[in-house]
Amino acid sequence: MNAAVTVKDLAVRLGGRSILDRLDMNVPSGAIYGFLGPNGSGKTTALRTLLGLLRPERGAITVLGEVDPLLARRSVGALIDVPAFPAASTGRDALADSARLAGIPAAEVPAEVDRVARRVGLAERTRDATDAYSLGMRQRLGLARALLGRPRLLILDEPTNGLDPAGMRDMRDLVRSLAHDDQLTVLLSSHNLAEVQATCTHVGVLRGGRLVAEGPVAGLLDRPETEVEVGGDTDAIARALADVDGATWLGPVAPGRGRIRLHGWTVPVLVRRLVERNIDVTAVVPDARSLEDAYLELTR
Amino acid sequence: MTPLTALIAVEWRRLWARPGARLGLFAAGMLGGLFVALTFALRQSGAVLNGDPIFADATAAWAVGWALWFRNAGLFPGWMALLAVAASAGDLETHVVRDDLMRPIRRRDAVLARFVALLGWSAATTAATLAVAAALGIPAFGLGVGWVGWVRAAALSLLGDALVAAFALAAGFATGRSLGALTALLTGALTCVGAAVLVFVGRLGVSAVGTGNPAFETVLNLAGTVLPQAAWAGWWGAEHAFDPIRGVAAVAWVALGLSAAAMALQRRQLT
Repeated sequence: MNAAVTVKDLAVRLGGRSILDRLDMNVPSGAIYGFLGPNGSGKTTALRTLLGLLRPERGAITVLGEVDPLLARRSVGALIDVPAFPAASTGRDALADSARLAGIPAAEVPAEVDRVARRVGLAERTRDATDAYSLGMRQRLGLARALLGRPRLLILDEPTNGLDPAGMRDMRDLVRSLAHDDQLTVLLSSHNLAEVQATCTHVGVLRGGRLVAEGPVAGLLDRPETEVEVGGDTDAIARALADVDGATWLGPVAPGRGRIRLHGWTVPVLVRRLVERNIDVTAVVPDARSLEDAYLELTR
Repeated sequence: MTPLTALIAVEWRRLWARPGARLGLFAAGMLGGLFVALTFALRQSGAVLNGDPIFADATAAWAVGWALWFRNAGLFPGWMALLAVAASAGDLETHVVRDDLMRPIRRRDAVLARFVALLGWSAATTAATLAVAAALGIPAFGLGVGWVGWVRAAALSLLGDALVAAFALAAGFATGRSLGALTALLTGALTCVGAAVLVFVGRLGVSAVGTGNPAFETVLNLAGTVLPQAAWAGWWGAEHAFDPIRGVAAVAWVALGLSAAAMALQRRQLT
């Protein structure tokens, strides 16, 4: 997979304070990349720096093969923070302005505005003044604006901010659809770990201005040791595991249920070995490691 | 890259979306009409000043000229400053500049487009004042003479407005806060007036007693022409004669102001 975004040794200082330090990251083309990190870890600063809104102290950034952010921005759509719209503008005015700023020829602007407004479900409200929009509508309008000109990379900073549960689901579906149907690479920051786990193919975890983990979501959730709760004759299970290397009996957790740590064995191997010892296995409940668990381990 | 013309078109629309800009155009037209109406009413009243009937020799050209004088010396330069601060510091405060610059736009072009739009507003308001004054003044007083001089003064008043716009944009993009920009502008204006007073007093002194130093006297005289407030007031008296040094000085100050504005935005971290 080619990289849509490559960052090497990036350092950014704001107001005399180091926000990003030695940040390296790699966003594969076609990925939905979730950018995670505690408050103040530098996520938004990193996204703004990618767009050329902030000047780095040092480091190299390549976005869609361009090192000049001005050139890269021709193919990037972005929604940073709460989107801002000029005073006394309708949604349509704001989109039309942005379409022209994106370099879309004037004759094509109305059709492009209609297309993106439909894409985010705002087609009926574009004649309203943006001052009257709810926060959720502003987010949708901001996303519509980011989609103008059919960008190849979409950068979204907390895109579900201000959205109700239905809006969050719509946003998640939209992001997936953009990646799959429109072949976009999506780089999004979020605090909603369940959303990221459900939406993203890749994640990067930022702590104190540095990336502490990066890769496919599945890779982050894998770990060498897994615990599993097993139902059956606990004494027999304990005896069966007393002399094996791949699993350790941790003890009973309830009548007829015990806990086992696997280190080397997989769950199917465990079940097979127990059955080979004539133990009736009545339940197997592996611990599902969530992205939240992985995130908390990485950021503590 | 986004063409500058597209950027100007966007800023032009945004400027006119501001109620203050539309109100300014209306006020400019009203000013021209009000001036002619008051002059006409006073002349018709038969009032006498220094033994002569008041405004007996008023013409449309005369009315247009005086309407222009009131436009320039009155509140329109201040109005221009407020609009320019709103388009710079105001747009920074509301993050409109930040969101615009997520598009393939050069920062200096963002400054230039705002300046051109403001200059368009200046031309529109000047034209509104002059057109209304002329439309009412010609039937009321007759055409009169001296139109070329007044058109020249009107053109130079655009240069004065350009100077105000450039300085206000520089203050706005440098401070990033509307209140800070207005404070900086006011401080700058007072400093310019102070400098003008010093130059004026110096010239009086030199003409009274002399310095014996012709170079110093030349510099002093030149300073009285090229300082910002003198360059801004190039329209004053331009109906009679055009002072090219003031014109060149005004262009130079506009270029300096725009460069400062572009540099300030270029250096700004857009958080």
